[in-house]
Amino acid sequence: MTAVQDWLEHALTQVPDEPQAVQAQRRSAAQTLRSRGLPTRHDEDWKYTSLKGLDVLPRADSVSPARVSADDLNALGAIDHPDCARVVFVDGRYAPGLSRLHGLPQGARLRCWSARLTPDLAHEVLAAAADADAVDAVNRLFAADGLDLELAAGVRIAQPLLVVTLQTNAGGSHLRHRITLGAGARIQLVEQHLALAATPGYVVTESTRMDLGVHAALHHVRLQTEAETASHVSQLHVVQAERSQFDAQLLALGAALSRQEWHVDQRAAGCSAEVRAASLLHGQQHGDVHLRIAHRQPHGHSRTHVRGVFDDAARGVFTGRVDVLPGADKTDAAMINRNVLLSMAAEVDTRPQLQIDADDVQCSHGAAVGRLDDDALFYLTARGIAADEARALLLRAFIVPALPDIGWAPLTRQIAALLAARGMPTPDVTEPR
Amino acid sequence: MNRISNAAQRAMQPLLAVRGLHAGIDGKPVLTGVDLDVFAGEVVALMGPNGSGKTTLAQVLAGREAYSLSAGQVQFAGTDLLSMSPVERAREGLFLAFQYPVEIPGVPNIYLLKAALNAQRRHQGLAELDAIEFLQTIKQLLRELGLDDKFLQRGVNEGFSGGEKKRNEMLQMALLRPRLAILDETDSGLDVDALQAVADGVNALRRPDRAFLLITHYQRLLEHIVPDRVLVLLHGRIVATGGPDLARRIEREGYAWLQCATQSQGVAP
Repeated sequence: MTAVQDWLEHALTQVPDEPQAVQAQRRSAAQTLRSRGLPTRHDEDWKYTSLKGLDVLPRADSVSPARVSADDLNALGAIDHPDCARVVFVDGRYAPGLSRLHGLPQGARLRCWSARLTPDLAHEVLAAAADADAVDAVNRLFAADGLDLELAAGVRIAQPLLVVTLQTNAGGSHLRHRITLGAGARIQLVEQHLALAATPGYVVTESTRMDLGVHAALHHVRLQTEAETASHVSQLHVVQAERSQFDAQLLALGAALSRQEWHVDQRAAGCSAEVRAASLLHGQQHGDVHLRIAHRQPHGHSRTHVRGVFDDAARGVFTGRVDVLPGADKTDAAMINRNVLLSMAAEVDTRPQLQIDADDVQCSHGAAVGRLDDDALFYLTARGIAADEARALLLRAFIVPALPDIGWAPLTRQIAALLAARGMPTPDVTEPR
Repeated sequence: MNRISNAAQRAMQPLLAVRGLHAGIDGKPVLTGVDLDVFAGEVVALMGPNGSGKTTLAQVLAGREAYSLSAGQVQFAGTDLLSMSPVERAREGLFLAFQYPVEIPGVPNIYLLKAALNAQRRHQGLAELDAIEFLQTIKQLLRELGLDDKFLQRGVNEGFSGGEKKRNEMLQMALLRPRLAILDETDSGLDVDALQAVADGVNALRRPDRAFLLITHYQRLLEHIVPDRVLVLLHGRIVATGGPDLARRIEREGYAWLQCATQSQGVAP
């Protein structure tokens, strides 16, 4: 018996007394996982990222969650703003005391499903999608909570919706979200992943399904600031209807092992998708950014801009695949991945891929791996700027174009603080009036 | 010109004293025993054909680590220059105007200017300039150099024309007021107006306690900035020293006649 199966059997013996409808999904997930096993390095999509570390970790609810107050959250730097609704999950469970669901307009339905309290909804959310893999099965097996958000046609939420996921113990967080936008609906979502200081190794899986109606627009920002002991795998599937717009942004700073997947399916004409990701990793951190965009109909548009900075023995992986399928004529797609390695032991594997089966398209892809520009470094130091400061300035300048930015000041400040904590303060260039 | 004052200066300690400097890059020797003095108050022109080692000398003096030094000493204001980092050299008042100023997208020019000035002021034990004082200073200099205010918010040299880059170097020099400014072919690729702006920038800064080492291919710049002395670098060493006439002869005749001169110093024009 392999370690994974061992772990799985152990986990299954602990299945809590959940409603029948939920148990059916758990069994189906277990079946998938038994037959497929977790992906290995032999799977092309997992060639550079190993999930071995997931085997030995206990499941979420085998460890009782710590008590967390709103002050604790603030002290950790959880994003917040009085004008925004905020949903908080602690150790994979919805934390009503820390959440604030008010202030949403008519036509917006925000709720959290729960395996115990809303079994019918849970059964729906926990169902497997046709394109689901073994990691999704892990999520289906353990997810007990998640967000279910639906915006009716034309509903626009002015302030970003905040989602904070906090880990307090060595268990895991397995969340499963569903977001449905009606025609012309618009929302910005800012998601942040945090852990209490000194949280020992834990596993986070997150699966998010997004359905964008005609001309709907969704901006999704993720600040991945897990503890550096974490394993974090997040899958985000988006289905786009005509002229809808999907905008995804990631800042990845935390976790021992992280993988962010986006699967973008443009099923109608005139869709637009923009993906931006910035990774700043050090020590032994491993960060994988995995993206698939399928353009199926004419006049699709996509932009992918992924940058990474890797220090010490950190390792970065980028896989970006753009498929321009037959009939997706006049697609306009561009993908670029740029990386800076700060040490001899740091490593990046980058795979930008483009498959074109349509006519009259405009597509480009590229990747670059290099060191900090010695000429620029010398130029700055030759002006008397300390070498450390010059290095930080150049790194910051490199990463800024790939950083999340939705034109919302609290997020901008939050990111500035995160960069400053990594030795990259924002240069003061304000001109006094 | 200035023969008497030069004689007087020679009695003093030079601001920059280079002795027997050997340097190379990637295992290839470039400087093969450079001896030169630059005294405070002087403008010294350093001429030489392509590949003679002019830029190597400038970069070595500014502290570029890519070059390996195999022999020689350099004293700057009485201290050992070669033991100092590029940062220390800059803060001690050595300024290199780059032949190819580096484009640094994402680092605003105003930030570089302010950080450089305040780093130098801290080093000198002076209070940093606040935002308003700094802006007054820099806007005055922008006007003098004919540069637009929008220069401040753009990335360092990002998308600047050749002339703008060189003017930006002059802006930094004027702001930092170095003791020794080394201008590495600041005149190359400039139109007449830009050349005049560079020359005006240098002439305005000429002072008894400041020196310039002008590295150039051409006599043209020396019509606008009259040097006290002209040195010729050939095959990695100084082979001729003279006055402005030496530059004119090189302009007329090239460097070929110097190839025959074997002595390292004192060839009369």
